[in-house]
Formats: sequence, C-alpha cells, structure tokens
Amino acid sequence: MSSGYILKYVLEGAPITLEIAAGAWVLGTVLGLVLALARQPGGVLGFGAASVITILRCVPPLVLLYVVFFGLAAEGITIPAVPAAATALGLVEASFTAEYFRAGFLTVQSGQFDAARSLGLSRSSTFRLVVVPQAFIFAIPPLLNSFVALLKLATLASAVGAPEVLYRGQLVYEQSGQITTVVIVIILIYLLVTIPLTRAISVLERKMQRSMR
Amino acid sequence: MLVEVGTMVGWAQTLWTGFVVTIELSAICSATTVLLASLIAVARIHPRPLVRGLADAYADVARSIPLLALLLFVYYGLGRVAQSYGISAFWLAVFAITVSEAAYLSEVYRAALQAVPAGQQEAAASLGLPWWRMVWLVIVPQAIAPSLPTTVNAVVGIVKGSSLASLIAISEATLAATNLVSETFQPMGVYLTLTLMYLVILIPLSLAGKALEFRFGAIRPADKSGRTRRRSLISVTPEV
Amino acid sequence: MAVGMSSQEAGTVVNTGPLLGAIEVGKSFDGKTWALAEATLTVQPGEIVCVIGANGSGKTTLLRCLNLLCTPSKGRIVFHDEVVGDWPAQAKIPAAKVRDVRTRVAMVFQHFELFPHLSAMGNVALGPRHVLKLSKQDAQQRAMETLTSVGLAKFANKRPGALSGGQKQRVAIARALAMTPEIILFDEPTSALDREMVEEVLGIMATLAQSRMTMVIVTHELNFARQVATRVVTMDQGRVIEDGPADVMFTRPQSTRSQELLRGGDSKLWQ
Repeated sequence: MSSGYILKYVLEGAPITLEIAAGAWVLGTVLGLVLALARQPGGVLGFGAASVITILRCVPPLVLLYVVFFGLAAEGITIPAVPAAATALGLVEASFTAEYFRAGFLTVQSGQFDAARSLGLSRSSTFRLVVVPQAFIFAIPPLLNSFVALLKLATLASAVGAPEVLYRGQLVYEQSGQITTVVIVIILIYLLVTIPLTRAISVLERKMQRSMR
Repeated sequence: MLVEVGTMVGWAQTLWTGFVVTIELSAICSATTVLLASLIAVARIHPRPLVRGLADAYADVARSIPLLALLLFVYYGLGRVAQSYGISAFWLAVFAITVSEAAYLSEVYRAALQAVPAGQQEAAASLGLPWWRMVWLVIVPQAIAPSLPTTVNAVVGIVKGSSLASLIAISEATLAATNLVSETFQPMGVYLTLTLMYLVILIPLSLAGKALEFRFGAIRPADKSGRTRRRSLISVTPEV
Repeated sequence: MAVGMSSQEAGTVVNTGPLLGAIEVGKSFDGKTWALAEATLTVQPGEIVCVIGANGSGKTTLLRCLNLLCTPSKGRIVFHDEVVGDWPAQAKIPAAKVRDVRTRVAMVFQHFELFPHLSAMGNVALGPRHVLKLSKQDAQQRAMETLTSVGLAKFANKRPGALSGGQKQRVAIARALAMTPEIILFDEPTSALDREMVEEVLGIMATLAQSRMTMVIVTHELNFARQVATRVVTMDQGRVIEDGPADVMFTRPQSTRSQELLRGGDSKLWQ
C-alpha cells in the first residue's frame, strides 16, 4: 500500500475532525460565557456556576464521552458519534473558556467599571456594553488556542467510532500493517496544522497587546 | 435511570481495583513528568542555541501530537519490541503520557525560571558562579514556589490522561468500567459511578491547585510562542 | 591618560600597569545610541575611585564592563596587565577567564540583589563554598567573620526579607568581601536607601577604604566622596570628562560640567 494512499485515506478523516472541533468549540464558548456570567454576581448562582465549572474540569473527557454516547443510548437517546463527541468535548472545554472569560472580566473590570458607572450606567448595562465586549476581545487568543486544543482532543472520538483522522489511521494500519508510514502521516498532519496556527495566534496576541496599551 | 445507591456502591468496589492502577500510573507519570519538564525547561534557557533549539523543538512537536495518538503509536509501534524485553504496556503508557505532558509543563517551568529577576543572575554571575551552579543554587529555588499551582494542575491533567490508557489495554479505572458495562449492560449507571469516583480524587486536587494559585500567584507563559523578554539566561554568565 | 600612571594619593606608589582597567570602551545596546561612547578608566591597587555623573551618563555601564557583566562593543578590558578582551575583534572570552576575573573583582549592586531563599549566612557563604571551593565549615566560618566585620553577626540566620535596606546592603558587602576580592565595584550602593540607612552603609564603606581595599564607587554622595576618594572621575553622555586626584577635582575641576557635578556637598545630585 503506497504512502500516498495512506495519506489520502487518513486525510479523509479531516473533515470529521473539523466538525467535531468546531461543534465543541461553539458549545464550549457559548456555555463558557454563560457559566462565566453566571459566576459573576456570586451568591447561590455564582456558587452553582463555579461548581459546574469545577466538575467539568475534573471529569476525564473520555469518560464524559462514554456517558454521552453509551449512557444516553441505553436510556433511549441515541446520539451519533460525531455530535456526541462534540457535546462531550464542548462541555469539557466550557470549563476552560469560562476561565478565559473570567480573566477577561477581571482585567477589564478594574478601572473601566468604575468609569462607566460614574457616567451613570447601570450595573447590567455596564457589563453588557463595556465589560463583556472587551473581555471577549481579551479572550480571543485563548479561545483560538482552545480551538487548536480541540483539534487534538477530537482524537478521542475514535473511541466511539467517529471516522476522524486517528480512527482512519487505525483502520488503514489494520489493513496495511505499515505502522511507520501511518505514524509519520498522522504526526505530519498534526504538526503542519497546529504549529502554524499556534504561531499565528501568538502573533495576533502580541499585536493585540500592543494596540491595547 | 434511577439506580440504587447500593448498586453503585457495589460497582464502585469493583472499579476500585482499576483505580489502584490509575493512581499508580498517575503517581509515576507525575514524578517523571515533573522531572522531564524541569530538565527541558532548563535546557530551554541554556546559553547554547543548539541546546535551546533542541529543547524548543521537542516542546513544539510534543505539544502538537494528541496524547491518544502518541499512546497508540507507542503501543502499536513499539509494543512487540517492548514485550520481547519484558516491558509491559504500562511503561509504554508512562512513556507516552510523560513525553506529552512534560512538553506543556516545561513551558510553564521555563516562564517561572525567566521570571526570576535578572538582578539575581547578575549577582550570582558577579560572584563567578558558572551557569549550572547559578541555575541550580539561585534560579531554580526561586522558581519552585510559583510553579507549584501549575504542577498540581498538571497532575490533574495526568490523571485525566491516564483514562486514555484504557484504550491500550491498561487495566486502569476506565477499562474496568468498560468491562463492567459489558457485564451489567448499564452504561449510564456504571459510567456515572466512574465519573463520581474520578471527581472524588480530582476535585480536591483541583481545589488545592486553586488555593496554591491564590497563595503563590499563577505563572502564565508570556505568550504561546515563548518569546519573553529574555530568551535565555545567557548574557551575563559564562558557560559551564 | 596613559596606562601605568601611578597613584599619588594612596601612599603606595605603584608604577606598574593597572589592577583593572577599561580602555576606550564603548557600548551600544541597540546599534544606534551609545550608552558609553568612549571611556577609559583604570584603577591602581589601593585607589579609591569615585565616579560621579548624572543618570544616563554611562557610569553604571562602564562599571559593569569592568567585571564583564556588560560586554563592550569596542575597546579593551585589562586585568593585571593582561588584556582580557578586545572588541569588536574579540571572539568569546573563555568562560574560565571570565570566572577568574569575577572571582577577584567583586560587585555591590544598587538593589542589593541578595538571594531571597537563603539566609544572610547562606548568601555570604555561597561564593566561598561553590566558587572558591571551600569546605562547608570553612565557608560558614568565613561568612560569619565577614558578617561580624560589617556588624551583622546577630543577623546571620535571618532571611533578606526580614532585614532593612541598610542591613541588606551590608550583607551584600559582606558577600563581596567573603570572596577576598582584589577590588570591589560599587554601583550606586546607597541610591535605593532611606537617609538613615545611607549613613550606616557609607560607614562600612569608609572603614573598608581605610583598610586599603581597592574600590571603584559610582555614587551621588559627594560628601562621602570627598571623605574617602583618592581619585574622582566625572562622566557625562558616555564619556569621561575629567579624571584626577580627589583634592584637585574637588577644589579646581577644569571643565564646567565637572564643576556642576561636583558642586554642592550637602545635597545629593538630582537628575
């Protein structure tokens, strides 16, 4: 079996990887924002949100995936592998994005909050118009990094049969026995995708830091 | 879905054997990861560009490869060779997890080393201390406390990563759960029990990490490319 | 200013080459502006050289070139008649050579730079133990003696965090002394101290001067300089303006800039 064939075969899993990563990213970002906002006011709601965040951070992603895929199926809710993976990974990622937003809130809050309030803005308007938008901008580089992380986490979906890159790699290895080629192909795919993306994100981060001064 | 607590307790007892392996695996990996990450971090601030370059390259590559992929590579690629030497799959898992996690941790350790004020290097250098001694006697001691929170978080990550070892037939907790599911046909209950047991271990660890972060402050890598103000502790010290 | 000029004030007339010297040294950090344009400073054994200049005059950079903390962009550094480095032609100086120079040339920093994780004793004993390779006992004994000589024997086990600024700087001086250096470089040793503590540290330095330790002191403390200096060097904009015996410099400095810098003994020099 030629390397070219192996490469093509494995690459056909790329769209699935992207689907899972994208779905998880959207879920993680939205849910993370909700959790971060819920945490802000403190009190019972804040404590509840903080607890959810901690729990999501402490569950092994694979186990959560099993709960969503196998567990729900046994209860009658059958979710196909790809959406199940996106859901599970999104939940896990939400715990991290919630932290990014929280850091954003804290950074923005110090001076700007008082300035906006002294203009007469109510607490929620201040938050809506001043803090959240800026926190969002502040959180963009880590959010982009979390997408890159999800591209790697998507490999877990192979455990429930989603035909992403690693799964297809396993299949073609079983067919061909050429472990070295398969390994090199998969490593190259991930290197060529993640390293340039990560570099680009840090360039963006530095540009943003400079313009925010 | 309503599962009796009694049943769950019974399952928990079955899963416990798996957890013993999880704890073993995680403990060993934590030690090796901290060690490797420390070495890599010191290498990343070494005066010689070649040493720095190699260490940087390792960190870049190891962070780009998904842990599960690395586990499978090591298992399928080296599995037979390892077996002929009497090395079980357990150690292959240790290797893969260590290599992967140490790359991330070395990033933070490097930032911690670079966060030690430059004046400290200068004072040590002006005494005539060679590079290795300066790093060991003056820089590293001041970088340990700030790195503790992230080290604890790394241990949490290692425990979570250990669950992936179930996919290369290591009899840790997740594999024990999968086996149990195939016996009981109750995936929801079993996996929820498994989840609860992981939470019991990891939530205290995670909270401890937060508490340490509060006490010592968090080290954030200056930026992801690792380019902070001083690329290496070189300008003032002679080499070894 | 020829290399080999004798020291007239110290009472020890030494007609050999300098103990330590920076010859026509220049330093640029960015290739465009020169922190040090071209400066020559040589030190004979037994001299107490005070370097006076405004902030940004290059005096700290010059000092740091003397113990190779700073690598000159051009010029020569000589130590005991030996040319240690000659830039820009110089390749890297062998590490052993750099260490040798630094073992014999000690430095005291403006911000003390004590090692916070070690006690005062630990700070002072570090050099003797790990650079001079003394045994643990010998190193600690020497550290204790040196700490006693700066009046801090009782603080030997205290961490820097528990010490006042003046005490910290005295520990720093002890740390330098424990290396039995041939010369001590002081980089604005009292600039970071409150007034009361300045006197405490200057007192130690004056005692050192009396014991014939060779010293180069970058300072703004003109009264102190008047008291202890055997030679005064004024600097401005990266160059040495004037370099002469202390009594001459303080009474009849030749250039107007020197006069400005050396005027007024009771007030510190402000930028």
